[in-house]
Amino acid sequence: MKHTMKYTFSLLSGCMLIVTSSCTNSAVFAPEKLLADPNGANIFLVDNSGNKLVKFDRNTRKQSGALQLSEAVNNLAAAADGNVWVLTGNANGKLIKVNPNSMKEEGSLSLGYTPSAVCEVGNSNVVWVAQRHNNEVWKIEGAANPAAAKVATKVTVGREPIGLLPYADDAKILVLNNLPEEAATQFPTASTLDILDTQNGKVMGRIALPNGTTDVKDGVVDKQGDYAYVVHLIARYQLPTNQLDRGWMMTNAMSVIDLRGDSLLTTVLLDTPQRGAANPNDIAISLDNNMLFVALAGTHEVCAIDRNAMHERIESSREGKHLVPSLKSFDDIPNDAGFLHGIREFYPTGGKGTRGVEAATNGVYVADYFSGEFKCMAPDGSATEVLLSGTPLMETVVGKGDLYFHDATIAFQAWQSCASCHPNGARVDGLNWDLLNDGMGNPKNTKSLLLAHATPPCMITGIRKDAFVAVRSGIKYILFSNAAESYGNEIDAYLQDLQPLPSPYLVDGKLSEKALRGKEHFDKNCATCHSGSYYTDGKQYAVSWNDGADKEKAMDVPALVEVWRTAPYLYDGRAATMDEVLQIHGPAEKLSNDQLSELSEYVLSL
Amino acid sequence: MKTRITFLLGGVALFLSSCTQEPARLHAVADTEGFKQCLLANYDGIMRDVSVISQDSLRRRIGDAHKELQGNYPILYDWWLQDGEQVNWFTDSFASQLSNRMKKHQLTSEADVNKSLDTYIHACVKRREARLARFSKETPEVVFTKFRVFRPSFFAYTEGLSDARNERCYLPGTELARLKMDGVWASETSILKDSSGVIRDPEVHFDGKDLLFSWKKSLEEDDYHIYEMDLASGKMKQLTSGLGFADIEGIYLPNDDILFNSTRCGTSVDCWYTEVSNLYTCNREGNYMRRLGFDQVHTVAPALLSDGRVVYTRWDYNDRGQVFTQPLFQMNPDGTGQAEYYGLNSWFPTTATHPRQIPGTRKIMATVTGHHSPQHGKLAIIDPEAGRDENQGVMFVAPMRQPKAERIDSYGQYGEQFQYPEPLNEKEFLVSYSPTGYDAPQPMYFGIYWMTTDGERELLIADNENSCNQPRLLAKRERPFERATTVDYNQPNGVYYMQNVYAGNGLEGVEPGTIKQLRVVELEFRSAGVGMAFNEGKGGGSHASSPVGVGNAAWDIKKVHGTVDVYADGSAFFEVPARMPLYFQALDSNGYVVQTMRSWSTLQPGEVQSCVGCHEHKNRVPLTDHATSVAMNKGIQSITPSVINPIVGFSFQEQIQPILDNHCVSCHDGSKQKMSLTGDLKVIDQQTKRKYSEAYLNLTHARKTSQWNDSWQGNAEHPEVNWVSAMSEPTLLKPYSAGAATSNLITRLKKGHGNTKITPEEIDKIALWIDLLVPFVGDYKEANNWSGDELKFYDYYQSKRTEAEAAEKEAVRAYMQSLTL
Repeated sequence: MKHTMKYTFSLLSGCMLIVTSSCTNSAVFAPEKLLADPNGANIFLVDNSGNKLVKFDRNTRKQSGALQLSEAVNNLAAAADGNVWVLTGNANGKLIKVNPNSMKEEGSLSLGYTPSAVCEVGNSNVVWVAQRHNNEVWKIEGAANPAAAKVATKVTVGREPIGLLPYADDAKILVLNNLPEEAATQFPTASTLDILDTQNGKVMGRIALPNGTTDVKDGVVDKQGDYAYVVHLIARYQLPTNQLDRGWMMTNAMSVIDLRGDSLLTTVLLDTPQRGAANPNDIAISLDNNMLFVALAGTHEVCAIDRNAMHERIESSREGKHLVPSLKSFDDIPNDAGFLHGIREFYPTGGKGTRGVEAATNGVYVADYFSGEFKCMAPDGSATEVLLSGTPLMETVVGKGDLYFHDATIAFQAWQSCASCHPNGARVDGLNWDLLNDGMGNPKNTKSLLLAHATPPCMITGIRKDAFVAVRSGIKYILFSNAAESYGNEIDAYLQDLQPLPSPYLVDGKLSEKALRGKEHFDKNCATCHSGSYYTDGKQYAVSWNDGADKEKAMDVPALVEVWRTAPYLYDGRAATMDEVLQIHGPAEKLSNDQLSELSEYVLSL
Repeated sequence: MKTRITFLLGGVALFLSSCTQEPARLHAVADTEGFKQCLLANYDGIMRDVSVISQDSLRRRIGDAHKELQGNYPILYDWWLQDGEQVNWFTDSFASQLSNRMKKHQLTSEADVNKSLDTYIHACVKRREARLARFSKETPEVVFTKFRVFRPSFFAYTEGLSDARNERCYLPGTELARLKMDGVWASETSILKDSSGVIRDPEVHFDGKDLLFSWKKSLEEDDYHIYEMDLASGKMKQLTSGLGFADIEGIYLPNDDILFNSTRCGTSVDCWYTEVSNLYTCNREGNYMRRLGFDQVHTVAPALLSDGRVVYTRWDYNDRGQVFTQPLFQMNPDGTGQAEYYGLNSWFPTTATHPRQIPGTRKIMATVTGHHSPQHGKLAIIDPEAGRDENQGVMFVAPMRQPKAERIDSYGQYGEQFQYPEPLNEKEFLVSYSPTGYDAPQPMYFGIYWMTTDGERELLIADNENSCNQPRLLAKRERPFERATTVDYNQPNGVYYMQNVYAGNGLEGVEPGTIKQLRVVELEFRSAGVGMAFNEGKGGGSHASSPVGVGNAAWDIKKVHGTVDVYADGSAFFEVPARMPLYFQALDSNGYVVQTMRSWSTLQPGEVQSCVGCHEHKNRVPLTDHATSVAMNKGIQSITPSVINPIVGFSFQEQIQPILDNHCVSCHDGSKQKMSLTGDLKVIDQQTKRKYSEAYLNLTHARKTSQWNDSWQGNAEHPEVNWVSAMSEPTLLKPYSAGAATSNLITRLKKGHGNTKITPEEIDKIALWIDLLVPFVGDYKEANNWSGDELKFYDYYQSKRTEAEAAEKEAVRAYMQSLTL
């Protein structure tokens, strides 16, 4: 389909008047991550509709190159030697060095599972890479020549690392982990940050984010290296899900990390008391260090925060003087949606799915994923210029469903989208929620929606006949929208289109020997209920470990495809690991610890 | 205009047939010569008189000048007024008045006054063209109403009911009109005129084609009802009906249902004799009329926000003074989520009303007025996100300035007057405005103005025979968010979840663990007012009609439903009857009140409403730093019934006197012990029209008041028996501010006063009586000293209310049935 690029002529304050000519771009364009070239000439965009890295020339205001990659681009970073580091793929993860002038690969290194962030330490010869589904950060030496580079160290970190922020003159790296790693019945339960010592390659400390923190998406360090700002959600998961008003289920936050003290200073809410700032996805700091810009993927906006004014409020509150009427104590900042009032603005981008933001000299660049637009906005949000566009992802039924699933504006006051509890492609947030469909006071662990339509009934108790019903119930009872029918079909299509990732426990795509041994135990002990291609018989059983309000309740047999990434486990998420599951929900047959470990290995390989 | 209105027999449909259109009337500047002469003549005349007439006469003389100039040259004189320093411009030499005005246009005056005035007027026209360029570009249309400004004793008494209990605000002579911009001048056409009726509250549908309004055609043969008109054809439909019921202030809801205020609740205000309006909903045909608000007194001026919430003014004075308690509230269109929007625990603004969202923002524009005031006053932008109390989130326009948080009953009744704003964007708005306000002879005639928040203004339309009110932009607008309803009329109950009672401001300084229970109390409102007590306290003074006790005792009849547990972590999770005004009291281990809610809350059937704690700031979100609460783990509790079971209104005679008879009157008979605790109803209070007992008057330390009347008034601050006065301040009270916990009587009885055999349960009952604010009657007709006529008066409204309740029950049934079809 042909799509005509539309240009808005605008005079950005301090910018020259840009005259552009109309051109057509028929390819699907879905920009996500952005990287501003440090020497200023280019902006690099990840276009994940076609595994492409796009170069945009800031001077000519035109696309000036592109590189086709074989797998999806997970992240990119600037190399000190002028090249660009690109991370691609899942099971066959790769670190690729790209020459920005020629837009050609300078070399690549095969890595672990879903390399998700890369940073240099000291020079471009030593890089650290976060391996999302290995829950590790790897040190790569000799990276100047990637083909000959070596993995020197593998450090285990928190759950699903997605960001690396070097600081203290590269002596340390703040590792951003996406999901909570505890049992969901534990308190606190929250994503945790790791502090990695780059000298000895060890985790030297951990920073606990506020209870309920999940889906950590991005972070940025200020120009002086004093603070890191990390965006994430704070789920108010302990409450019944009866309302959305005032962040009753989900709040959207930014944690301020004191890098001098290696500690959490506080967490501020991006939300206002009457409207959520849903799904913060990316953060950038202005070149003058004064403003923070957060891409809000759920509300299609940029949230611009006056950084100095925010720190003044934080410091003042610490000294007992609270500058907003709703605040009563320093410790309450994470619960105060009035805290940033007057020092934070929202700029609608005019597009859909604002996933990337990068600071520019005279404003911000933004990537609108679903509407397929790369834009420049004036620093006060007053004017927006479309720089590149193509056929939007949201023109297909699946793409539309993908948009609706991630669109908080279809929810009451835009507090949350479906993706708030089902992030990362409709998977899990690691938390328990007390949905009202089976009474109140009996929270249940979030399920992945992968294969939900193929494995009816739905929900932990199987209370919904199938995922078609569950999707519409979710729109009505969780988003409080009366327009379920307007979005349901497309969301169904999107969810049905999801593909499982192969397990990181597989070796060369096959079951390991240990897993093969485990399969025997599984077939003997588990396969009656966990039967069929998705390992569920679709029935409900009262299980012995039920307690509390659910003591007598039968639970639906969950599918086990991709179970390696859906921790914690059991109906209330009481088991953080598969080994813990087998202690509670183990086989009838008495197995040795080694045998249990084999069984666990098999299940995690599914 | 000659409009023939055809009433279809027995039907509710009306047609404006053969509507002879009056030609449009252009409101432009004309006869500048006449204006100049009139201006100079008035100036000269006043200057001549200034030294020879009294101040009062002078004031009148100036007022007459305003009236003449405004009446004949509205736009020209408005320019003259707005370019001057003050409304009373008859001070200086005319030349300097003119020269100062010309300076505002960067002009210098000439010796020839006539010529200078021409230059000045020309500059004003040019300025108008510049100011209105953006607004008038799309030739916008506006509907508005003409009626005489409401002047009730309290701003919300505007129902003008055909069988009104008492005062009746009804000033006939009305028109529904349409304004269309023709260049920078407005042309006016009439839609509907009624010389003996009042048309009010126009509301444009999201499609920009249909219009809701309220119309009362006669003083005693009709009441306000909601009508809908297709503006293109003039076809009209009457949605509500019924003589004796007023339906006003209708708005469209996102699902096309209607929300409106109605006197169908059948109650009467606590502090006067007038009828109350509460919020109701029905469909666009007027069917399935259901009550959403179960409120003590008036709810006023509902408006829809883009996120689907309804914002309205709720008069709110359970257990506190009535003067400063007209905050803004919010609810969802199905009546769920009723909660504070602005100023619930606040002196200022005295009243905030006529809320309208400023498009593209999360702020509203509202009229800030007084209590004993008309509806007009000052104009504000309210941003609840900046703060929820006093002046924290209030900015006055125009120009923008933060007002002082003052405590004034008739607030804002000076200088220029605003009412019924219609914000267009962050800068511009339409408003019904009078620059002269109280400085011109009454009644006030408002004009329809275009204005900016900085104070630029242009008069669009004025009428020298009536007031122009309620401008509403006649345009298509985005349909607000349609929130899914969770109301289920099959369920009798709703559920509250409270995260942590200690989290709010209401229990500041209270040691966690102190609160053991919440008491759930229902309020029962009166059907009519007979007799008057007089209250006075920190919240001012007031009457209480059909009083529940002596002055300063509870406003309303209290029915205790019982208690629910508050767990060690401050959490609670409990079920209560829906569709009922309830309030909560936080109790300590003795069962005494630590803090009491001086407002009320209502759930819809099947609603689950959560709160953080005891009056937490509404800009806060739930607390993150705690595990799943005990309440959540324990599940939903039912209310444990109180010592008074079955649930009835708390009556001193029924509950307390038997205890006194058993244990106290053997000594306290008035002679052995001077303080009589006898229960005979022998003290007749001519003012309250109640028969009191000596026991009740003595325990409340009542004295006859000399204020207003000589009714009996209790001493709420007496060390022996003290309670939160009905006239307590609107702001939050400190925990343990009064009640059983601070009353010596309870301590005395517990110690075993006079060797009585009074049981702990009996002491608890007395404590309960104190904590309910010492009510005397448990039924409005109890212990009355009413005449036959007064009884008939009360019963008339009582039975009307009962019938309305039955009709509503039937409407709910029909609604439920409609859902199954």
